[in-house]
Amino acid sequence: MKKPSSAATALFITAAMALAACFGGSSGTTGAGGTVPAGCIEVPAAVSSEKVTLLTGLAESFNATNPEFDGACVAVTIQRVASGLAAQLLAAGWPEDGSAGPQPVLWSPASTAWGAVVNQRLSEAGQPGIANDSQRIMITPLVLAMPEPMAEALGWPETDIGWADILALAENPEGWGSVGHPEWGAFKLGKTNPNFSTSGLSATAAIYYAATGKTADLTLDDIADPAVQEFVRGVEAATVHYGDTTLTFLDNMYREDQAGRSLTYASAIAVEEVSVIAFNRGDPADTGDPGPAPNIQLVAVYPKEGTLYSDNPAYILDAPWVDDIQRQAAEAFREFVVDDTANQERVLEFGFRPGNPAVPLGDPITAANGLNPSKPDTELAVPEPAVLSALLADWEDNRKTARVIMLLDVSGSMSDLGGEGLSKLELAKDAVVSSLDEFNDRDEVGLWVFATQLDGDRDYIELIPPAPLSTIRDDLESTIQSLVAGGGTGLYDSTQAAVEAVRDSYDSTKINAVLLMTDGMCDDDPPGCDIDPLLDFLSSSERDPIRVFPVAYGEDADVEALGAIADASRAHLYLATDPLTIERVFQQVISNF
Amino acid sequence: MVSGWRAALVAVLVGGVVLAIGWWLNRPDSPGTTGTTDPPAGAGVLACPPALDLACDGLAAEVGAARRTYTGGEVTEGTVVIAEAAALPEAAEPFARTPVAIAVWHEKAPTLSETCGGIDVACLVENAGRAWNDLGGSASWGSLGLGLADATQGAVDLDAWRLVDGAGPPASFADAVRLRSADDGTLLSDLVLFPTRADAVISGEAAIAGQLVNAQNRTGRLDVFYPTASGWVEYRVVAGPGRAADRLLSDLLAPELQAVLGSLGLRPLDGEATGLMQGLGQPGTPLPALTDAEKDSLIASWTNTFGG
Repeated sequence: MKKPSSAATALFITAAMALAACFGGSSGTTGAGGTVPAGCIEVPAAVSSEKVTLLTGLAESFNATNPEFDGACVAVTIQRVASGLAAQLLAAGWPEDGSAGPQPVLWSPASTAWGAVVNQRLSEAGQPGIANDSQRIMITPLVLAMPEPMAEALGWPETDIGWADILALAENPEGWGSVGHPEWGAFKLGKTNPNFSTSGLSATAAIYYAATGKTADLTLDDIADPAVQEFVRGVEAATVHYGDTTLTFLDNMYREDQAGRSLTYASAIAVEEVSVIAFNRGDPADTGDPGPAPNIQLVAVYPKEGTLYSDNPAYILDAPWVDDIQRQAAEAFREFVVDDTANQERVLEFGFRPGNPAVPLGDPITAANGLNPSKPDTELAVPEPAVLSALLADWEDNRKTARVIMLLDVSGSMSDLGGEGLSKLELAKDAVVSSLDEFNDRDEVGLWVFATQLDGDRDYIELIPPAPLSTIRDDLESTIQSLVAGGGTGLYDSTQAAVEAVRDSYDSTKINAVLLMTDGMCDDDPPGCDIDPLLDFLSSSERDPIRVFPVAYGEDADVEALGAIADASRAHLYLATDPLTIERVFQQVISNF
Repeated sequence: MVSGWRAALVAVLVGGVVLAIGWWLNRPDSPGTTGTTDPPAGAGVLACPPALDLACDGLAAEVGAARRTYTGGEVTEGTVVIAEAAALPEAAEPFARTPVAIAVWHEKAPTLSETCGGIDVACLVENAGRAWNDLGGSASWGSLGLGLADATQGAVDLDAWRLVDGAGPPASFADAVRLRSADDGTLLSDLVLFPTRADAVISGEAAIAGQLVNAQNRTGRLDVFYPTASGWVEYRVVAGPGRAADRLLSDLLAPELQAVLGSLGLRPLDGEATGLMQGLGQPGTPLPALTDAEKDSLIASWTNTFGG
């Protein structure tokens, strides 16, 4: 179990979601989109990442009509804010100083569950709810995105596939060989961390439902049922790694596809239906700038046991900072988006199912794109908050655990000032220690540091070998706090050594990984700074790679090299270019384990 | 109750009605079903709750008014509102009416009709939550799930609950109501967006009529059935300040518009409906209006069943 900081809040809706809020997805908060003409009133909208491009375009169209209310011109601006982060900010009153972006008038998270989170947390603080007035913009169901040949090997599209089939395949020692494809290895599931991601939460709830055979009214007794827990454990055991965003999986899958290796990266990824369309367009991040179409497209499997929808509400907030003109403008913008059928057709073009029932489903929600507009056959009910809370706590006990070496840069540059009067190393030490709570106590964690010539000619040194966190926590914390900076940056040989160490003791029942944090560029003696041998080494094992999750710390970090390391090991690069963000970024990284 | 042959006839009629609505919506000057329109200069704004989208889009097109959604509150300048009486000032005038009706997914209606010898509220209440497999349907349909709108919020929703309550729902009834929405307009919209949430809904006929075409285009056909008797809810109309609103109100109350209400999903205050509503079938006879005591009792019953 995690330490109390993660489990302290009794209800999931204030615990798991609060975690999500704290760490908020990879996107966090980014600057407002759209300009506000001089003299006009800004109507800020905070929206979750998957619909930023869509709503930015619609806001531009709306603003082009020169809307006025009570004689004042207005302009809607769009700001990307992860649902969980927005929920936390709103529950806390959203800072007036703009540090989290402008205080929103309109808020569109991925799911109405987040609105319930905000209202419940405000209620607990004795305040009235502010997420009351909502209208649905669009919907999209959670699906299992599978490479088409793999789905076909399971009988798709004639045969319905569900979580039980995945469990059977995951537990079969022959893996894909049991259905005639030994070359695909074991079944591998991509699934985000339910404490961080709406998709992950929906998938986790769906797995528990599948274990019970129910479609609604999941109970605490269901969660505690040993047979249910065994089912959950079995499915989770197939997980490649977790993480805060489905984009990590989709990006990696696309990159592997372009290299002709997608069938060994992941067998299925739990994502929203809209993500399948984006992937098949060659634009997994939905940037609007697609690359080549994938060689092997993904198809959407709608789990036969049922699934949940993301319902993408647009709330006009009953918040004290919202004035009457802004409210009127937000209502008009929401009408513009939802009631205008032409704009709902734009919603469909982006791959969402329109929230306005007057707009029929059509392209791109088609069989040609691997989708079935008449699915899902069964919709699952969102569990009650107390059940969700129990479910999340139980998931912590049954999820796949990790075996991770934390490889930390202690080179001289880490003594540079990071912010708030503290060095980068001091900030990092505090971040790492506080982030240990995000590991599971059963996770095996080790600590290495690197600079140059820390142990004879070696640039790295093992301070604590991997062991269950519960047994080494105190030692780990005190060792981290005692770190001092000095020397150069022997980045590549240290990384390779850490990966070799994990590989030598590879445990197929765990997520095997290296967490690499560095603030600089490799400055080792030649040929130590030739990255190619390291990249070759990292990519040399397709089936069971040791994933390296780099954190680029500070503005001098070699983002390009670290990105290449992440790509080669099929992991994900995290950016903490502002040292003051290191704690939040560390927590995001650890969400993978 | 609707007998088997009558159910088949209704199904045929509904098919014709769907085509008729499709034609109406696609006629050259159609505004679409829910589009927000800008008024000509000086024209008023017609605001209605979502349940009356179909009717109000059509009325607005007839009189050249803009459309807005009415969610309660003050009737603003230049605006005319059509809504249930309780939502409007006392000065509001009677405008149209609607009975309670039942909508069932076309694929499942014959099985249910066969089970009950027709489809009515008692049939739904009695079989709610039962496995479709036991009712003669496909096991893949799961169990019979129903949809209702919040009876504490609207008169037509309270009248729907009146029928359910009168049928003596068992203790487990709430579990079978898989779709509960704030109002009848949202209920029908949710049904179209999330078709597996409910196999049948009991709601206002106007709200059902407003989603028949959308259901057909998006998900599948809905069949409409009527209780043998039900409450009929009156919609009223009121103008906000300003000459534009006065003019719009006058236009809406003109006899010519009353004559086309039936084609827009509403029933005129007196006389028979024509067009769409005529094709949907014969509603049940009107029950006496609920007394305040009966309303309180039904609201308490609703709250006991579903919680506060």
